[in-house]
Amino acid sequence: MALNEKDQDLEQELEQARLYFQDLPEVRLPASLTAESLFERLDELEQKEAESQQQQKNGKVLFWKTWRPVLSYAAVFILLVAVYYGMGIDTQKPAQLMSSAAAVSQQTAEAALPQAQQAAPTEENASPRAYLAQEAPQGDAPAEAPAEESAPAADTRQDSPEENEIGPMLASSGEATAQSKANSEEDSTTAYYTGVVEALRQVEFWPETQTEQLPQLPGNEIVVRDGDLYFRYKNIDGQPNIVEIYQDKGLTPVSSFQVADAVIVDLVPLGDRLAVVEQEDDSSALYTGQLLTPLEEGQAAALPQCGAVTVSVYDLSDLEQPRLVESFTQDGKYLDHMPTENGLVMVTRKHIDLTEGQAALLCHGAPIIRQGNNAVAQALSPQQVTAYQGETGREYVVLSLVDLSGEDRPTQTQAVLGSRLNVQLSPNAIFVLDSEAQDNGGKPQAVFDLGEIEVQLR
Amino acid sequence: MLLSRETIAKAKGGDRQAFGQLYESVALELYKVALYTLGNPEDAEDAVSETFLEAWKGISGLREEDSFRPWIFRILSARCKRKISGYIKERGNIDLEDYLEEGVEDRSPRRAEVLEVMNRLTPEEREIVVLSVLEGYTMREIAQIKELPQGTVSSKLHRTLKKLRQMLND
Repeated sequence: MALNEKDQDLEQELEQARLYFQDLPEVRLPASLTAESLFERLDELEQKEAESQQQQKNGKVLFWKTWRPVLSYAAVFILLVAVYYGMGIDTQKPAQLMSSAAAVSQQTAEAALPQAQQAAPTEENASPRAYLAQEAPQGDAPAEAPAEESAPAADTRQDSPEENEIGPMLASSGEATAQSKANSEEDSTTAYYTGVVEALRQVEFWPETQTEQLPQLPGNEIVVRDGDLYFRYKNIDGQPNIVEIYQDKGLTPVSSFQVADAVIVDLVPLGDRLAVVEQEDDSSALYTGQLLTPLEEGQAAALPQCGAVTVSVYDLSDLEQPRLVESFTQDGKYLDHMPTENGLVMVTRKHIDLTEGQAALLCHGAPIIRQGNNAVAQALSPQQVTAYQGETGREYVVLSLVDLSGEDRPTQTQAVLGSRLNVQLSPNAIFVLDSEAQDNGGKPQAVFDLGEIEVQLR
Repeated sequence: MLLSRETIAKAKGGDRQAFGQLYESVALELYKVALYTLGNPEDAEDAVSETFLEAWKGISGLREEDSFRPWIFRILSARCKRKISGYIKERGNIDLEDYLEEGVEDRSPRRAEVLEVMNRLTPEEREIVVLSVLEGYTMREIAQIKELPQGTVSSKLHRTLKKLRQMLND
């Protein structure tokens, strides 16, 4: 359907919906939600907070609040060391990679720890990590960022631990990298990295799902098997997107359901659920990057666009009546997935082609920390801005660990990897490849921060 | 009430009265959107009060006075998301009859039908429908509030309205 017809159709649907909704009665604002009532509650909260701070000054230590951030950053530090080490892993033997990576990262971590006390960041080292070491943002720094972009995450930022603890550890990792590179001269020069798995909290993987063709069914688009079930998606121009469920290779589907207008790019069986991954590359999509300066009117329309990935999870407890239970959207392009015990790891990529003028306005090459669909404001140094201005394109990969267990609150933990990285998944590991790492002195442009981030699913 | 730049500037400077005026100009809208999205008034009140507090803390950083509305609705949307994520199995059944305006003599069957159909939508679908149909926000404004691509918002709304119409016509 052409864009204008689609808009007209939408407008008609809106008109019809307004007629339906005009029957709904008025809603009244509760008395507890007046400004006066809310300010009274705010005053009470501030008073309690002041009393609490006074108690802390008197010597009461919240043990878990003190140590949790340290342990979290320690996990991040170990991961960084493993990535920067450049182990030169033999890709023919993936089964050995995890144990060797763990052993090397442990050695490297042990070697790096004594250096943490001596490491001193210098201005010459203008990488993002060095910036964090030099000018570790204070607790109130994020609050100074424009509230327009960051307000939805304000509470979490204010609860996050002091970032100056990570500075010395991150600065020392550079020296640790040099040390471990010296130790690995005999390793392959190809830079392969195994990472993320430990940082994603010991994810256990299911047996791999298999993709195979059903010879009886011609014209398959996507077919995924899980035990005795086969899930098939047919993509026919002009036809609705339909997912069919077959059992025991029968020729007649047990059931089928229509999904969406967007193109389905993957089907992920998750036990008694099925995740349907849709990719939308609408040209009108607007990239929500980190802006350095406010845009003039009209400039927003000139910004580059990226697509969006929507994952819809269907409950298959009753095969004959699949039921939609979850749905979340993330911007970017879908690459791959790995099912986990409680959900899945999703790999998406953002690639932006920019004009020089647009590059001067956007600094999305710098890693950002995301919470769900909200981008937490990231403090940027002048060096970072200079490094990315004038470039014509940036690309980075997002790894999302999505927990769909349904027992507790669903959570989505993300790692954002820097540009020129490729991600390959095997049944039991995630490989982060940077073929240009040697050109960059073995330092991929990546910063992981999974410590304190527990985000909402949608 | 029109939001004057002067009021917004005062609120950014920490003037409680000015912020109170700003909030009161959108309070009912915020509550309606939260109520229909979350389906129960207790959570809607929580979401709106949390939005108020967060907006008060962050308004000093508001760049453009004209973006106050999408900004505060973005906060509300994030708050609603957190509430929704706790619903998992239960889909936040709407139970609005007890809390809507009393004394409406003409309790049309159509109204009950519309509420029942709304109940069958997901909270995210309800939120987009309420913002668009009840509150009159454009696709672009909803995209800013939800921090989604505009095309995604348009597609989702289109699908949801079609679903609504089909359910009401069945």
